[in-house]
Amino acid sequence: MATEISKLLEPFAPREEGNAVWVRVPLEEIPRIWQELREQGYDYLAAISGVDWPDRGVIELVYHVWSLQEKSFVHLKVEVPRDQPRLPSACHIWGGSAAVNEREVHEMFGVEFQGNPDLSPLFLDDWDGPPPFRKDFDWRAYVREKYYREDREEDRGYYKD
Amino acid sequence: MAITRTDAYVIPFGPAHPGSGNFRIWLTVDGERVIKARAEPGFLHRGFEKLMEYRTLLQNAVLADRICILEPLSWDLVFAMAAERLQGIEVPERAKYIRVLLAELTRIQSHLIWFGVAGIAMGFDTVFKVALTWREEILRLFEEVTGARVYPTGYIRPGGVRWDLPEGFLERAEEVLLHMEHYIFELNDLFFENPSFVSRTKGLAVLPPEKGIELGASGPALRASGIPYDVRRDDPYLVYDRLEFRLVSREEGDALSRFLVGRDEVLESVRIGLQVIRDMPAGEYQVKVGPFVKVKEGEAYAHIEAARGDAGCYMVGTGGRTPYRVKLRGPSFTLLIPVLEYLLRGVEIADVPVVFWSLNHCPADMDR
Amino acid sequence: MILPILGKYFAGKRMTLAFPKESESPAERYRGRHVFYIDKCISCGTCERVCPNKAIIMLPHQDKEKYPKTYPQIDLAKCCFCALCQEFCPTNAIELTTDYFLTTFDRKELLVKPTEGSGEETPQTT
Repeated sequence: MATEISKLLEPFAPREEGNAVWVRVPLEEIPRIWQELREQGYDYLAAISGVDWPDRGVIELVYHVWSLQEKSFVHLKVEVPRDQPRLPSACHIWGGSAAVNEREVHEMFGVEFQGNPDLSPLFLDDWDGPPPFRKDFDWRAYVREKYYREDREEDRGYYKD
Repeated sequence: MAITRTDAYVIPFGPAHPGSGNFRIWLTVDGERVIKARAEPGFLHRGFEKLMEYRTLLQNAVLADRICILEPLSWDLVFAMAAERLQGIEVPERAKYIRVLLAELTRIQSHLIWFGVAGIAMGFDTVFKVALTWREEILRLFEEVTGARVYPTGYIRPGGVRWDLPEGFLERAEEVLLHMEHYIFELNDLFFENPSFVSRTKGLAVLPPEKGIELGASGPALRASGIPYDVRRDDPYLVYDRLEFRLVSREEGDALSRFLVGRDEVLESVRIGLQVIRDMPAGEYQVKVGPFVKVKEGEAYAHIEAARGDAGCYMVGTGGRTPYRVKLRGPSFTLLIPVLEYLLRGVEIADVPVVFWSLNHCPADMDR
Repeated sequence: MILPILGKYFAGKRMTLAFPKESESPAERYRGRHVFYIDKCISCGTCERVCPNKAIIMLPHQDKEKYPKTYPQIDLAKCCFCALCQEFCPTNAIELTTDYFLTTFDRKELLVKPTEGSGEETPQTT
C-alpha cells in the first residue's frame, strides 16, 4: 500500500489482502475521503455494490475503486441506516460511471443519492413493489402468485419447499 | 413556401432492429444528425444476482455461464475465482493452464463473432459467413472437452476444472490455433484493409482517454484510446505473469483503431495458447469441493480480462450453504450506457450501427 | 484475383453433409437425453437437491409392491443438461447419453416419469 493512502486510511483500521485494501469509513468522513482518494490517483470506479443487512438495520455500500498508476484496489465500505437510506452522490468525483452505478443501486435497494441529476429506473419497467434486492421482499410469493399455478403438473416442483 | 421552423424528432433504434442486439436507444435527431441519445436497457434482465443467492456454489457455477452467451467460460472463470478467494482454495497448476487455454480460445471466438456482426451492420454479409465458419473449429474443441458447443455448464468450477483433457486434445488445439492465425491474415485482406471499411470507420466517434476513464470504459475500447489497461498485465491472475505477450494499444481512439486492436488481440491470444500447450504440466486437475459445502464468512472480489473488458465478481458469505450476496460487474454496463450516449452526439444516422458495434459489447452482461 | 479463391473452394472438400443420411456423431462427452436404471436407485434424493433448476422431483412409482419408494421424474423443459445428477448419484443410476433428438409435438412427453426407463432400456436414436 502506498504511503499517502496508508496515512489517509490508517485511522479507520484497513485490512490488506494482496494488492487490495478493504476499509469501512463512517458516513460523515465520506466526501473528504473520496476527494483525497481521487487526488491520489484512484480514478477508475469499477462498481458500486449494495448489501442489505436487515438484522443490523443498515444497507452497506461498497465502492470498488481501481488506480491505473498504482495498480491496486481500494474497496471503500459505508453504511447507511435502512429506514433513511440517503447519502451524497459521487458524480462530481468519478463522473459518468458513478452516475449509472448509483442509478442501479437506487432502483434495486431504494437508496437515495443526493446530487445525482438522473435517478430514473434502469432495468424494470412498470414496477410498483418494494425495492427487489432487499431481503424483506418475498420473491417466492410474488413469483408463485404471478407466474405459477399449483394445479399444473409441471409447476409442482416450485411448491415443494 | 420557405421552411420556417424545424423540430427535432425522436427515433427508437430498437430491439427489433437487425443491427442492434437486445437493446434500445432513443435518438433525438435533427435532419440526419443525432443531437442526443438515451439508452434504454433492461430487455435481458434476468436477475442473476438475486438468483445466485438461493443456489449452492456448484449450482451457481452452472448458472454463471449464461450471463453472457458470447463468452460463457469467462464468466465461469470470474465466479470460480471469487469463490476460491472466499473459501481459501488453491487450484492445482494443471487446472490453471487448462483454464488459460480455454479463456484464450473463448476470446478468439468472441472476437470472431464481433467482426462478423459488425460486418452485417455495415452491409458486409460475407464477413459474417466466413467468421462463423471459422468459429466452428473452436466450438468443436469445446464440445470435445466440456460436453457441449456453447454452454459448458460449469466446466470451470470452484476448485479447478470438472474433467481432465481427452487424449490427443493438445495436438488438435494447436492445429486450430495455427488455423486461426492464418484466418486472421485472410480476414485482413477481406475486411480490415478494405477501402470501403476504412473510409466508413476512420475518424469516427473518437473517445478521448480522460473521458474513457471517467465514464468507466475498459477492454479494446479503452486500449484504442491510448490507455494500456489490461487486467492480464496489471493484476495478473492464473499463470499470465509467466507468459509472454504484447499489450496491444493504439493512440487514435476512433472506430477503426478499436477494430484493429481487436484484430491484433486475436494474434496475441494465439501466441498465448501455443505457449500454454507447450508448457502444460501433468498433475491433478481439481480440488474436490462438495455440492452442499458451507460458504465461509467474509468477502472477496475477483476480476479478469474478459473479451469485452474488465469483468468482476464480488461475493459475500455468512456461513450458510448459499452466498449472501453476489454482485457481478459486467464490462458492457459502462460501455453501453454512458460511453455510447457520449459517442453518439453529432453522428449521422447511417453511422449509428457502425459506432455501436465498434465498442465490442454484449447487452446480456449489461443487464445480467 | 477472384479465380484463385474460386479454384481453391471448388477443388477443396465439400463442407455440407446431406443430413439424415450423413451426419457427424457428437463427442463422447456430449450431454444429451437421460437414461434411468431403476434397479440401481436407492431413493436418496441427492439428484433432486443438486439440480440447479428444480427439474427433478421424487415421486412414487405406479407399481408399489415392486418399487415401494420414490423415484425421480425429470422435466426436460426445465433441464439444462448440466449432468450434476449423473455426477453426484451414489449408485450411477442416472446417466446422460449422446442422444440429442429431443423434439416432440406433445408437451406431456417432456415429463419423463419414473415408470419409464426401468431396467437396461436405452431410447432409440435414428
